Amino acid sequence: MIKKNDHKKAWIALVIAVAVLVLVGALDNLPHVPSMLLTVLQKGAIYALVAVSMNLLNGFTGLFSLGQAGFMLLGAYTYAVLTVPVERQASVYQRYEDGGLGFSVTQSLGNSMGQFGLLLGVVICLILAGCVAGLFAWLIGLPVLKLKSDYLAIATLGFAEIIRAVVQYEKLGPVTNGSNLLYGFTGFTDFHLGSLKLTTVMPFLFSGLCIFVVVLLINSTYGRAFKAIRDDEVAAEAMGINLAKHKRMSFIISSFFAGISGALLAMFQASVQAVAFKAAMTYEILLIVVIGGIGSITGSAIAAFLFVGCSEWGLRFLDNETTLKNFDAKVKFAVVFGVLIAAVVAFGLLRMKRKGKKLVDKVQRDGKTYYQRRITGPILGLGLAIVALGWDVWFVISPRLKLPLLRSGFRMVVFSVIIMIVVLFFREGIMGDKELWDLGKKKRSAKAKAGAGNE
Amino acid sequence: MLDKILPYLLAGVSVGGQYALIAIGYTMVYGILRLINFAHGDIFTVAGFVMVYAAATMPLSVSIPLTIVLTVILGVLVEKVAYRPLRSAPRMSVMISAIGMSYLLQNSMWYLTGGLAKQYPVLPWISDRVNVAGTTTSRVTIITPFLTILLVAALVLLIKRTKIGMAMRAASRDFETAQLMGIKINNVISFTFVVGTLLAAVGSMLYFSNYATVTPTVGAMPGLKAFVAAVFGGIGSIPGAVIGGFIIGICESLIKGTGLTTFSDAFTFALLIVILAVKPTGLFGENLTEKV
Amino acid sequence: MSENVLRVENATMQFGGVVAVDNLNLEINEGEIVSLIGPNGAGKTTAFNVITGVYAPSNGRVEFCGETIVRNHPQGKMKKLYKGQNPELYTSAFRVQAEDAEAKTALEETEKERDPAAFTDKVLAPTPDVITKLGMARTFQNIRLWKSQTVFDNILIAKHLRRTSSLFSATFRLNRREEAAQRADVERLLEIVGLSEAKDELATSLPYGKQRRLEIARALATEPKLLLLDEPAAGMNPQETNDLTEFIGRIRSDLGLTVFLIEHHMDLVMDISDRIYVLDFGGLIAKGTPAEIQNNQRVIDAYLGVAEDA
Repeated sequence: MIKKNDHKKAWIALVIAVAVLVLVGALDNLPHVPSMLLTVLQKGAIYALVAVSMNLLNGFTGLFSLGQAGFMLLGAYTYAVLTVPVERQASVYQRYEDGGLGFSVTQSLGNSMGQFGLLLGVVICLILAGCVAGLFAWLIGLPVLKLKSDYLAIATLGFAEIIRAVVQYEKLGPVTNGSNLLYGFTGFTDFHLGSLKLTTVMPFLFSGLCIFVVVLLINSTYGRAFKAIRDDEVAAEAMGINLAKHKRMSFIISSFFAGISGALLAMFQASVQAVAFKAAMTYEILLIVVIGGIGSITGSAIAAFLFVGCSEWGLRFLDNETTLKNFDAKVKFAVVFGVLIAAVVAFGLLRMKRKGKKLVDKVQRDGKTYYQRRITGPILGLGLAIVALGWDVWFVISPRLKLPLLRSGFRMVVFSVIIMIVVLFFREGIMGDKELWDLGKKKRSAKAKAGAGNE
Repeated sequence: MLDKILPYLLAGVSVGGQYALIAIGYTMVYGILRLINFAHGDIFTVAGFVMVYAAATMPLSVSIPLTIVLTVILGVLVEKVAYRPLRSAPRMSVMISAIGMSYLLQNSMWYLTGGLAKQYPVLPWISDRVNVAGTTTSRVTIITPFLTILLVAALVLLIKRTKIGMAMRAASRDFETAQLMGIKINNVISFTFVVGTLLAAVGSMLYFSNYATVTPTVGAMPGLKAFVAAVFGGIGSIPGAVIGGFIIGICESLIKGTGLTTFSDAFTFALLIVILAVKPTGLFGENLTEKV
Repeated sequence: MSENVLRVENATMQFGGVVAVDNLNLEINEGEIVSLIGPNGAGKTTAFNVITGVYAPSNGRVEFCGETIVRNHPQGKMKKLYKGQNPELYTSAFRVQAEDAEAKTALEETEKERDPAAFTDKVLAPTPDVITKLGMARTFQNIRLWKSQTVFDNILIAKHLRRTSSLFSATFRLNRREEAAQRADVERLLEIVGLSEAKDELATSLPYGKQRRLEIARALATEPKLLLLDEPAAGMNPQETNDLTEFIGRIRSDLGLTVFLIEHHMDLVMDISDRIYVLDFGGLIAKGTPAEIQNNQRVIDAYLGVAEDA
């Protein structure tokens, strides 16, 4: 029966979730754990939620929106404004007289109910953050969702910028602190279970819960309706699905979770400033979604961790000026480099062969034979490889010990190149449109049935 | 009253012309490829940087044409690398590629220049201060609108009277049929990018003569605003992009004049929202209906 | 006399200068199978689109089960461009023609009963989903299945409009019973169209004929009273067409539906239709039983043609 299977899956998922939380909690409290790892985990969890929220809108409903940063901004500010401790409000809002709300939700609840109160306060503020973002989504959605894909992207981008400008407006300063930094509010470090730190467990917990809700939504009848709108909205409308209502629903829900993730980001950074929530942030989220696979929730989560890991940690070495120690080290480096180049060239050639492209194609046209040449790509590639190998040899021979190119900023360049490669050659992303738990099954194609006899 | 407004008006017309030159690049590319070239604003910035480095080592008579040539090469290269392979992919993929390209260009510029702002060289004669109706402003401000209109007129002539222009018009009407009719679509597209990038390069010279600091992200805002101008005028329509550019430039400048500087950027986007809500195809745009 | 299910009055659809549908009048009664035929470009699919709400007509009224669901009249710029007859038919300027005042009032009363807003300027142009909810479902000339979904899910999604659960209860699985009932319904429909074995396959992996059947099953899932089929036999071989003919008959007899179809396969049309309407250049050129249509000279000239060696 289907029911038993579902129950089993649910229990397995629960066990895995608890195990992950315990593991993360352990990392939080064990000594000698690099703080970079914790940073990556925390930020990764937060970006995973944003990416999932964007995927819900772009990947599952087919609405190309670039307004995520604006909703994150709203959520972040809502949360921060509500939780700055009363006694610090004067110094935080120093440019504005009587700045601040005069109360702090988390402080009030925390004082009366201890850690539990603190948690309750945070949860309330997170939900409020999401609601504010969702409210704005509702307002914006009315005119904007009717637009075609490109225009929708630009309109949402525009709204995000407008929101950013409004939040920084001087007259709203007493509440938002204008264009100044907001800080001092409740962060992840305020949580502890007895003497156990929960700094990384909390974002995982919040993020995980939210993503879980999105997964439930996607697999419900409404989620299927969203997918129908993405695949063919004319047919969806003809089958009784009200486009305006469902698109708005998806938009509001996506923005709700984007708002919560903005609040989580505020908690992580311990400070909030409107200027950080530019279009560039939305682009990063979009790239995460693409790398993970448009239409795959697990893909977005995995890609978020990869993205944050690489940009914060993994590729850091590329930013440091490196001097090799001696000739032996140089040789080792040169060999590794040479092997890498050879591997890339081999991969490229294999790919070409598998796709069946020949270097020179014979084409018959008007009785004459033309030779269609597709040599620019391979020649460029081979040329680059030869140049690289040549430099490799020269580097070993020369007396230099310092590796060129490696200095501040190189990391981001390499990172951007990798992204372009994924976007151009691996458009499906890591997971395509499948989830982690779909990888075992395969949807049977008609070809497989052909063996059993056609009708 | 007039002399209070005049400097802002002049500044507005000037920056409007610069936006117009950038907007043309957007609108032409969109007209044919239905692609928003997010990297266009960054190419504009690159033109600025190239000029900075070129002028430091070479006389202006060399560095100006060199900047234009290098920028155009970059524009065509971006098309070949990032857009051509995705010609048959869904629209979202190409737009994502454009965003990725923009990201790459910004990061590359940051890396190559060390992240410090560079000073744009002073172009003689253009940057001279002149006296106009009681206010002093730099000559760039006066020249820009005229130069813009001249270039646009030349472009319109090119599109209406030459063979390549006709090919461009055909391609923007119906991409696939144009290909079937034997038009070498790749050449047409490359040429479109050449023209668009060339105008952006000229625009960058005029822009940076006014706002002389060049940073890797300096082109993002003008790029976005130029895009709004293109949408406002009707994406795919060149006169529309020009008019849109001037309107945005003037309004933005006037708003700055009233003191609400934070809102001068937001105004552009508010204008965008309004036009998308009221007439999404823009002032001079065309309507398309889908067959069910 | 069975109840009227669909009535189209003076429907005109004009795109700029092109009149795609010109003053179409037709009636479909409960339990009938009615066909709409005509050469390509005659405006048949456009007529479907007007009836199902995809387009708001330039002029005219559509009544479904006695209730007016679509009503429009030329407005604004359209008033000048309008090329049809009766441009003010469904506006406040609507006048009934009668000999004397008494008859006129009587006619006006009947008109008002059918359509309370008949003598006002009110425009009624609902989106297609509203009309589908009222009980009208359709298929498409070019198959529009949801490509990333399985056969089962394609039909299940069409059950969404009949849901009673809210977003909250659906997300948190509080609607188990409703979902189970819907899934059982889908299984039943799969049986009826003979696609039960293929239910977990991707919709696009089915052969063409089966995809058409899937589209019909999907339309049936919306629990319609009237089913509109747009060229259901397109691309089918004679055997498949026979199966389809039989299937449409079963839809009427077993499921109690009324069917309105557009078709070019004349054997299917003549075989199964109770009545036929013939469209040419947007206008109705003939209507009647299959026998009458087959012998109608105008129809033969415009569409059916004559055997060469006659």
